Amino acid sequence: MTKIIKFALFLAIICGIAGGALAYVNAITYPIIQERKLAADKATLEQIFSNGEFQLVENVKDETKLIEKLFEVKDQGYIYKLNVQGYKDIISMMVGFNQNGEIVKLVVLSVNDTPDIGTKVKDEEYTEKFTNKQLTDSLDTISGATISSSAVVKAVDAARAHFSANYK
Amino acid sequence: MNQFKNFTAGFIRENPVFALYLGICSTLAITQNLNNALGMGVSVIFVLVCSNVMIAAIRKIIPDEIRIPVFIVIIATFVTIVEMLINAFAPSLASSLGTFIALIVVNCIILGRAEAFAYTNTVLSSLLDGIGMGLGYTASLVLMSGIRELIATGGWTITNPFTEEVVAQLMIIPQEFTISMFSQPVGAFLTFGLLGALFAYLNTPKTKKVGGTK
Repeated sequence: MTKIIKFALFLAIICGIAGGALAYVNAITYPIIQERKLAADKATLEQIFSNGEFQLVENVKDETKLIEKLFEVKDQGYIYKLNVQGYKDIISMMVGFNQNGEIVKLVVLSVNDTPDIGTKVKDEEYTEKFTNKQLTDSLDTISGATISSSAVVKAVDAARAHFSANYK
Repeated sequence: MNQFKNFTAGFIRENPVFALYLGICSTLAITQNLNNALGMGVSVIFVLVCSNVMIAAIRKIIPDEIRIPVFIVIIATFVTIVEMLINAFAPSLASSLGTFIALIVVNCIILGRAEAFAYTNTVLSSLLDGIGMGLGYTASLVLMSGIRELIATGGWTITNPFTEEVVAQLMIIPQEFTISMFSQPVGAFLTFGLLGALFAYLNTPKTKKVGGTK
């Protein structure tokens, strides 16, 4: 009996020391890892919330498979990075919501569809129409570039659905 | 002399990969190119040396019955530390090695050396054993990935894992003659089989041919 207690104590001490060492290394590396994860998207994130404090949300549940990344902006809202099949190629974009679910800004990062037709979705003329839309407002497409703009709307709707389900 | 023997054993006679067939899973998976091999090698050396030294240092107070759980806790701790450091400071290496960093925990070389060597030897010999075995493992990875990268891409490219700049590049085989299959799993098995045969030949004691010429 005393033997078992002795073994248990010994293992507990070893695990305690190991845990302490890991906590120490984690404290040093965690902020750097978070920073690295944001680095690639930082410029776009700041276009949407100019003075936000961003944090990547892990393990996002998403059946639509359109959400690539989700960022929480401390006390301000959320930003979704989305990829959707356009007319020829994947369209990727970021859309930010404030805490009420209103769209703050839509930024289309890359679109490879027909020049001057599908690529219109990237123009400010189109993307600024999204700003201030409520969660339930319908979103406009561009006539003549229906496939590309519908894809953008589809992706933004997926983000809105995720927002309503999780943060509303 | 004996210390030196401990150190050199890891290269040919007790080469962990090609002579003892330990740690093959990660060897097959991450030897597409020299960069991955070096990154993996350095991580394994670090874990192996640290766990060997630690286990040798506390070998007298580890109760015999629970030595394996103790070894595993010690090894897992060092592996997790390495994983955190790589994620923080060498993200490109982290993405190309992926889950195989965490899988160093179950790399037989490390638990094998803890059980077979560090648990019954002094700290200094265990340190040398760790470095020797680790370098032996790294040399095996470098050898194998060198062959695979050469055949698959036509040369070698070394990049700095911290800044992602290309440090050195040497192209030998023209693009038309490369066999990209060698960067695939099939190339890993082929290369591994051939190198295993070579090491088996090197380690066979030289005996007289049986039934040969009179």
